[in-house]
Amino acid sequence: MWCRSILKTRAVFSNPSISTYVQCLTINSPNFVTLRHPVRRSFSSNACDYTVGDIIDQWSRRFENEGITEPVESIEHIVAHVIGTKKIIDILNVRNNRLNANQIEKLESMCECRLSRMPVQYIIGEWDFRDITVKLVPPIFIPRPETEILVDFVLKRLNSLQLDSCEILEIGCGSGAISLALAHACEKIKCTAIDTSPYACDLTIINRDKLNLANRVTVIHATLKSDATVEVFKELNGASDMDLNLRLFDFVVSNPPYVPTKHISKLQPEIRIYEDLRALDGGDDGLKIIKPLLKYTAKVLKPGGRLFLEVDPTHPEYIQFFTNKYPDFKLHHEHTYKDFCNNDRFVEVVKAA
Amino acid sequence: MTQIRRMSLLIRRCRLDNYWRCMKLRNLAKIRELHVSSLINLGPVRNFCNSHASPNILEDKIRRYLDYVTKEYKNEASKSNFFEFIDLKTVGHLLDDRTHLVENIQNLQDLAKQDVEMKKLAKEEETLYKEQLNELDERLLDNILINICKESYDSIIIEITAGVGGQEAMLFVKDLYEMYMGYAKYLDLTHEVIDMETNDNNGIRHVSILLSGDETYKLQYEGGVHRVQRIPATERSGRVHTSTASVAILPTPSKVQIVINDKDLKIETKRASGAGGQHVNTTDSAVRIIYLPSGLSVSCQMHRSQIKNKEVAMIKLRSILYEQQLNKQTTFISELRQKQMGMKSRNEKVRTYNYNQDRVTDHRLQNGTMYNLPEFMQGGVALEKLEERLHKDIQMKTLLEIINKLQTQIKY
Ligand SMILES: C[S@@+](CC[C@H](N)C(=O)[O-])C[C@H]1O[C@@H](n2cnc3c(N)ncnc32)[C@H](O)[C@@H]1O
Repeated sequence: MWCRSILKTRAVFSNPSISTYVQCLTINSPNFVTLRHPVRRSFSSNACDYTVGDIIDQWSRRFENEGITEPVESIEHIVAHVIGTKKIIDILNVRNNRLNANQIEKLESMCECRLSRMPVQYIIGEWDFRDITVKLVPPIFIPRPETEILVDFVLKRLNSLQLDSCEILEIGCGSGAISLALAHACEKIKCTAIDTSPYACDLTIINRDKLNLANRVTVIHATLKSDATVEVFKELNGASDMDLNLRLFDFVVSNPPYVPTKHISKLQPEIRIYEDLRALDGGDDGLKIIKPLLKYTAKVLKPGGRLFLEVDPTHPEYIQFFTNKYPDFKLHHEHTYKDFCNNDRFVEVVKAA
Repeated sequence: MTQIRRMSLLIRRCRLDNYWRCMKLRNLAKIRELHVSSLINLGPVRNFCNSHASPNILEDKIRRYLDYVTKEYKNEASKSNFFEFIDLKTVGHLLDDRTHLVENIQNLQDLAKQDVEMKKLAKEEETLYKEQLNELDERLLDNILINICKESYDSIIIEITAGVGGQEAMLFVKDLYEMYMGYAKYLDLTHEVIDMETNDNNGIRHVSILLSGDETYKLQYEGGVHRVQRIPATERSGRVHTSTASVAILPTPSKVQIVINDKDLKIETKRASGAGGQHVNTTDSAVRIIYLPSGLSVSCQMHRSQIKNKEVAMIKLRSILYEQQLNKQTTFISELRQKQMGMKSRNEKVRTYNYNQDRVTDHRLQNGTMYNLPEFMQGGVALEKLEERLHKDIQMKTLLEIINKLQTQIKY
């Protein structure tokens, strides 16, 4: 289904090299998506003669000429991936080395993808989030750096409350970044992660199992509906307590879709073409999910429990308005935190004890 | 001690023998613990103890220093700042014992003066007490020395920068970089390059490595100017060149040691402008932090995770602020501390690596020349041994400096 949305966007997008990217993406199993790079020998046959340094110079120039954003970083991350490292700095030691034919072929097909504006994170198939590395596959939402700070606030609060254990529900887990980073950082934490996309659930499970967190992170394919209930579709890998409308949690955390629909068409092609737009489209005011989320949270939080949200900077004011307007929900807006760029980005809400 | 004093001569001897035997055993077992290792490896101190038959100046100085410390300890009102180097919690009871011993010796001497009959007996007892006093003094000194160099940090930043010698100096930085990376692996430290500037010919202009672990203090004395003498690979005429690189060791203080107020920070990221969050895709996770009170700026772009870049930048910032803070303090004690951390020796030529002669010479030590340069450059046991020698040497020199200073200030 996401493929359809890509094709739709494609019509709007006018980069001539775009035709290559559709080949990049193939669904090769009924419920999972993998990435295949187009194989094309665009570079001269004597590419083997170039050093890593030359390759970086040539490709960054080409990217720049074709209007690709972050041209230098793009090729550096691709080279780093091809030589098997996560750190761009490691390239410095091998600038004079040469790549073998296989590596060059891989590199060139990856660069083709980048020319089609595919995000680097999808091209190399992974990115770092705090202390963990998560596998990333289009069109599942690529974790944003701001969200690392959201995790910080949750961990700090956990520390200050000195809880012995902490049950956390995450709504809309995507690749699993938040829940997995939380469980990875603190042994006391047990997460239940839900997402409306089965592909997102699958990816979270893959990432979870790589981090050996299966015993503390449960993934459930479920949707938060507009009537503020959660409908469970499928239990994945032995979740036991399935009725998410009855269980109580210490914390609820979410980075829900919050981009107002009118902004979607102005987003970078990287996002517009490759990411599942349902992961970020928050409806007219960006609050489409946030409103039922507040109501649902009021039901499933333990007294004294807390909700942590990442939102658009226009939203904290509404959330404060909401908690004041509906005292029956017993929610109290505790704090709005800024991101590094001084935007009001995170909200902490407390359920009255 | 009180117990020992009541025991018979014979038993007392045994105790002492056991003490020495136990020390030797520990030596064999090569326990790699700081306090143990400095307990065993105190060459000069051992001399001081064994050579009490022919007292030398060093012994005399230390003995008088300990007398002074004991006296000051009893005198509760005294708040001599030289106590900064003494951990009274661990040393307190030793000082109590010492007071007793000294009193006993004094009493015996008085007794011998009064009573000729008792003289021989008293002399015997006195020898014994003196032996105990020697043993006690050694332990006291161990404790004090440990404290003098106890500055230890969970992590440090080691910075290597090319000095004179152009291209060749940058190749030398690369050699040193590899040596310290090897050393970090050998010591089982976690190591992470947090900054690097290279040139096109495989050389390194500047590199910073963050090291953490239990044994970071084993790099404490690496700071200073390192010199290389060799025929550069690029040199056709076969002439020996001399080039340099400077090494700085920056201890990274804890969040408690250097408290930074969030309000004093301006954090810049790629996303500084624009909507951010879900609106943006970027791989640029670089973070720059500006410390507003002084305008100092640090940055990090090592990691793909932005928050980790911020953490590293904060570590850098704290280290720099810490160094600045130490530099501002100009008391005798604070200068000593900086010296111990190798912070005062940044411009001092500390070591020469001579490739033609296959040797390394550390200029701070007498007999500081070692051979087998290739092995040394791997950063293994050879470097560790050298660090241990430097540690002992500098510990002792520091103590003497304290004592000398004390002598000029107080007459004891
Ligand atoms: C912005 S993404 C966040 C993903 C991940 N937590 C992160 O921060 O990287 C929002 C996620 O919420 C999921 N989602 C959207 N609407 C949902 C709903 N009604 N119920 C459950 N999940 C939903 C989307 O599939 C998407 O994976």
